Amino acid sequence: MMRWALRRIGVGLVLVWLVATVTFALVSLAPGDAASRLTDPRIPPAARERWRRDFGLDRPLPARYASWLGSAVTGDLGTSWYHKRKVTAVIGEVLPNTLLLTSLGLALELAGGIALALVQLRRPHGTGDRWITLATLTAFALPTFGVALGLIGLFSYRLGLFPPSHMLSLEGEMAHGWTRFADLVKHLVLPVTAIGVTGVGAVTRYLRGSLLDERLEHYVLAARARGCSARRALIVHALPNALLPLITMMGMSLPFLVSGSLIIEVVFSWPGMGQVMYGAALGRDLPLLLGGTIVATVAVVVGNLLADAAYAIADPRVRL
Amino acid sequence: MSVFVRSARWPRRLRVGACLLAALAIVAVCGPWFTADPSAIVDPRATALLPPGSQRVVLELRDGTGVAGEAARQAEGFWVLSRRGAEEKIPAADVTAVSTRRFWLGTDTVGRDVLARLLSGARVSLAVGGLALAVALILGVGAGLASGWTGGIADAVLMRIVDALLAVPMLFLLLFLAAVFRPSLAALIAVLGFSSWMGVARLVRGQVLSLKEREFVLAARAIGASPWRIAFVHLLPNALTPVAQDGALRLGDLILVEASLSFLGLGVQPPTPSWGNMVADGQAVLANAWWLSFLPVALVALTVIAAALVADGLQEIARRDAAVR
Repeated sequence: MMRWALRRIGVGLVLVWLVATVTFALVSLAPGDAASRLTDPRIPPAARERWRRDFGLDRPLPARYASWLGSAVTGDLGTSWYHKRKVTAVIGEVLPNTLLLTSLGLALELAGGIALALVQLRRPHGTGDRWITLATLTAFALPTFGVALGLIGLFSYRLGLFPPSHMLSLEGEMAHGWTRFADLVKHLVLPVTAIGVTGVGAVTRYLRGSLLDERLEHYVLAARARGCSARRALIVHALPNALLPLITMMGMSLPFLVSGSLIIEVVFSWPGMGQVMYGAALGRDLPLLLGGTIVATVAVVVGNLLADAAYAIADPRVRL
Repeated sequence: MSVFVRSARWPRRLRVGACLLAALAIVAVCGPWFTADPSAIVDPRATALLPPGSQRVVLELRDGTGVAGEAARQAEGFWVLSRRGAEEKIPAADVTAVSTRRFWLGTDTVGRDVLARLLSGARVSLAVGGLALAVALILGVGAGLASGWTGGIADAVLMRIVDALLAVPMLFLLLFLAAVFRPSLAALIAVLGFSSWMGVARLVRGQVLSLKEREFVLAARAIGASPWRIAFVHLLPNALTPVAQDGALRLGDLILVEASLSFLGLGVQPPTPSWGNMVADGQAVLANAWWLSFLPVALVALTVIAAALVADGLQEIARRDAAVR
């Protein structure tokens, strides 16, 4: 176990380094640099030069790479061109917002998926099952922005129940305690629902299929033969085994937790990683893009590692 | 024992999905021949943001432009055009033709015909999705075959590359590439294809690894078939059903990613219509012009549903094959 973990961490570090290097190369070789962001023609050339020197862009590429890598290793990802602050500070500020949004969304997606699949399994191929299959297929096929806009159109514009964007209203921003919390919850409802709706289709479809297979396994039949009710056999015996591969699926969505559902954040103006990265891409804020990509890659590596470890703990048949 | 054996009856899901996909493809190819020019703006004063089914009178003028209104009548050498409560007099001599035009699915913010834009958007969206899938399949099948069939160092190297690429946060990379190099359609297809071949490669490798231990491969080798022949004539056809199933799901995925990128303004660039960028146009007027956002979203969903049905059907066939063995 220990050797396995060390090996995986080593491989993960190499991976992060590779991704960082490739992204750095892409960023550096892309046409235009920081100085081309200064589009105002009245800025004198000397000021441009000084600006380039301040950001270290006048040095040769290998030297820039070396010093960037050196500081990245110590946890310093450079300074954002747009925010004029440390990249780590910018990311640190928005990351909690994204984690809040996406973890709630994932929880809704999982809970909804399990509940729907269990309802379907009560009478497989019955009317209820067919309708839920159709609904989950549609949810699976809808583009995220479509769901988000539909929710806004219906619940904000038509019914006026929930705010269409941002994390806090002006009053909420000023308030403390309960009022602030209530305001936050109100703003969370629509984006979390949007994440849940787009994700629930995949989870339900997957879980229904594996429960249908699992139901016919000998251990489930044995449980039924011992006098266990159909419902208990399904929930207590079949479900845990059907849930196992979901661990891998969830490990794969850890990067989603960090990078956030970019589209949801953009549509709902949610101040999170996805929106910041979108802004960085549009404004060509390369240090921020680079830093965000590295943080997301670390999330992928850690996610896969945790998923494999969790799988081995949940399923003793798997040896690491 | 695969989809392509004629005696094997296709499951209903597969038939429905395949018919839907075929219908969408036919509509995308032929539709634009029968509709108006998708980028033509007749007269924004009268034709902007019309709901589906609206009808307007269009007067074509001698200088090649046109004006439109709710109704027009002829009086004393003039055409009197009523438009949003006001009337405009146009000398009859300037008018070359008068016609009524129905906008079956309404118009967008600047008065372009939504039906025409949806249909030529279908061409763009389906072509980008389909061609990106082709790129991914060619790369993935090639890498998977090479890796699984030759084994050894080539296998190890290829699979490490696949692992590394799978760890790259693709959405950020796409975002970055799209922002730095304003994408042409060809670049968009290449980027989408290059970012999604890894799954195909893994799948094909797995199939090849299990197939190459089977007797028919041994038999082929015994009668002196070359490794190339075994790979392409014996191994690949036997791996087709799972690859086709994966490809169908991937097609849906690629269409969703293209729509999302275009929605964010980083995919297909206006004025070329695609389903994604049409929704982006409609977003600002969501509250009073639902059809601008709803219709393209519905078409994306329909395409992805069709692809998912095909994938489900193929999986059923694969399961049936496995039961026969």
